[in-house]
Amino acid sequence: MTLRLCILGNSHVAALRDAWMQHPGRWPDLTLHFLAAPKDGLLHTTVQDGRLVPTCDSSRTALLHSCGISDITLADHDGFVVAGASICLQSILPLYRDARWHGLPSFARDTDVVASISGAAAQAAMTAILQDRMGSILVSRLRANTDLPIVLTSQPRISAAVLRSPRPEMRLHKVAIDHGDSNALGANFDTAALGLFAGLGCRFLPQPPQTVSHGVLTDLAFMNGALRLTAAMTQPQLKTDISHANALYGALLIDQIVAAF
Amino acid sequence: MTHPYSALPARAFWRSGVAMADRDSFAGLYEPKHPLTQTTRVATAGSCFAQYIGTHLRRAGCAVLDVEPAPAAMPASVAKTFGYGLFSARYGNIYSARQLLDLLQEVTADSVDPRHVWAKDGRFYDAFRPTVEPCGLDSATEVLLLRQRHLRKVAALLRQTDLLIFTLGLTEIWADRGTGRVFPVCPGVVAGQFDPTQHELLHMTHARILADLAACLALLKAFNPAIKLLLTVSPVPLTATVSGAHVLTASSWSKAILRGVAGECAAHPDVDYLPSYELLTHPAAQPPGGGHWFDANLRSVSAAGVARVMRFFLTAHGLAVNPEKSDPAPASHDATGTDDDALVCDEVLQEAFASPLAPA
Repeated sequence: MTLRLCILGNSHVAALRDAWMQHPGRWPDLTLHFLAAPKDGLLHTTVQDGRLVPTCDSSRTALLHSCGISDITLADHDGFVVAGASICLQSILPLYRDARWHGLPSFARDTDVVASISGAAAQAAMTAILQDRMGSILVSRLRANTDLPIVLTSQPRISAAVLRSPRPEMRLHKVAIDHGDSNALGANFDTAALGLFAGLGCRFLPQPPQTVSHGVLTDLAFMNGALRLTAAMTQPQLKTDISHANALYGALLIDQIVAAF
Repeated sequence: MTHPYSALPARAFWRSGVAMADRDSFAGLYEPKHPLTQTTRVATAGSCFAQYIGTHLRRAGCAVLDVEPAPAAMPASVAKTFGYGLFSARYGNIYSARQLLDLLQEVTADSVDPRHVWAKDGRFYDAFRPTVEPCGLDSATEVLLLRQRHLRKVAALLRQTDLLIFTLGLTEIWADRGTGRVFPVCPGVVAGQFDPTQHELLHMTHARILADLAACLALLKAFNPAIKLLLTVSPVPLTATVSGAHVLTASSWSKAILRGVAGECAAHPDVDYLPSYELLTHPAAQPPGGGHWFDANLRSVSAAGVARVMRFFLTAHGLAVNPEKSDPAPASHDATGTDDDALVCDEVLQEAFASPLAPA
């Protein structure tokens, strides 16, 4: 029996869509529909009479431009996948900038550099940070309107390319790696997301482990050649892009999703 | 013919000082011994009522110290829940002079006693500030490590404090028989297990509290010889008493002791007393239109009551009252499900054990 899923999210849906288009026979018992728009375009939607529809013309245009459709009927699916949607490790890094907590290897060493907080406080802060982000809002909106299963896939960590050409905004990744904290930081993010989404009635799928580099980055093999989210899926990401994953990554995500359902 | 009463100021006489006075401004009721300006480095500690003082002083532009602020990236709701920003360090409620003395001695020794870690449901709590980590910690090791760092922050706080404002709250306190250390809340209420062979109730007398405060002052001076102490007495009645008395008489007794101690202590040149207790509880100081300065539960100080005290306090120091300036209000930690306070009050947790139909 064919599993009918709808993938919703932001520009990171492109990796799944690209994989779906490149490997049409890889998942014979699966049908995917995509409803996504860059940035927070999908937030400008509402559920009306069992359909997820845009609430404004600009949202409708963005959805059509990105995936070729602008609304879906919830009952036409067996489940929903919220992909990326700003649920990313990047969002918790400001906490790492400001504090160290029990569980990070550097906690015992760096006593006076930044604030010392408990592991529980750190987890609570991370959860609260993620709770305000697009993925949480979308999941809550869906859960309020359907009893069907919902999973959320982590937005990919940024590209390991930053190790070769550092950027100022990526300094914290480097700090975490240099201080031996990066693996624990990645695990902390996954734990916070798992707890948060379980509470929202959704299963969180961490980034596939084989794609993770240094705990806080994504291996170059899963980032090079990423495409932009458009209906035709023909435009490559900018060469300077370090955020979006490619079809290889997307295929692993679909494998992960199929296993989850 | 002259006598000691003939040259007294108006404030010395009930008729001119109270009955005929402007009871909104209450001229002469509080004449600060020590200046408090926007550059005075102030630290706050004490019972939950003390949380208001820090909040309002910040609004007035004062330099209220906070040596353990919440990380900037921590959402405000989490910071409040985890005891950040309530006082000048994350020590939680300090209800008694003995508890303050214990803390100062611990800070001086720079040594953590591993015996005072409470457990509950596989989580671990610092017995001296159990509510600052509402979910507990993963291990006793983590509790002790964080306490060690907390003590060093408190030491840093004391070294830079010009004025410590301390609110006396309770006289009924629970102690460990073995170590003598006192807790902010009875063991077993938040975490840990109450054991009558290990824990004892201390009814702190005037003499004991006075001695404790004297010892506190000596230790404070060891950190900073120029430090001054401003005492207040919390107007908030007891949540519960195990004295055997009615909670009303137990409250009156407790507050009378604390008020007496504060008055006697304020005879010291480096100690002053702010009469917030009188302003909120004395019949002569009640609202002009009648009523009182408490909420419907007759325990929590109303917003108007807090505003009155703080206006009075700030005006006495020539500081601007600035209620409009946004500042996070003291955190709500209403563990009892009542409308009690916007404050974090550990002792309120005891109320969770009361039955509304409990026999008198």
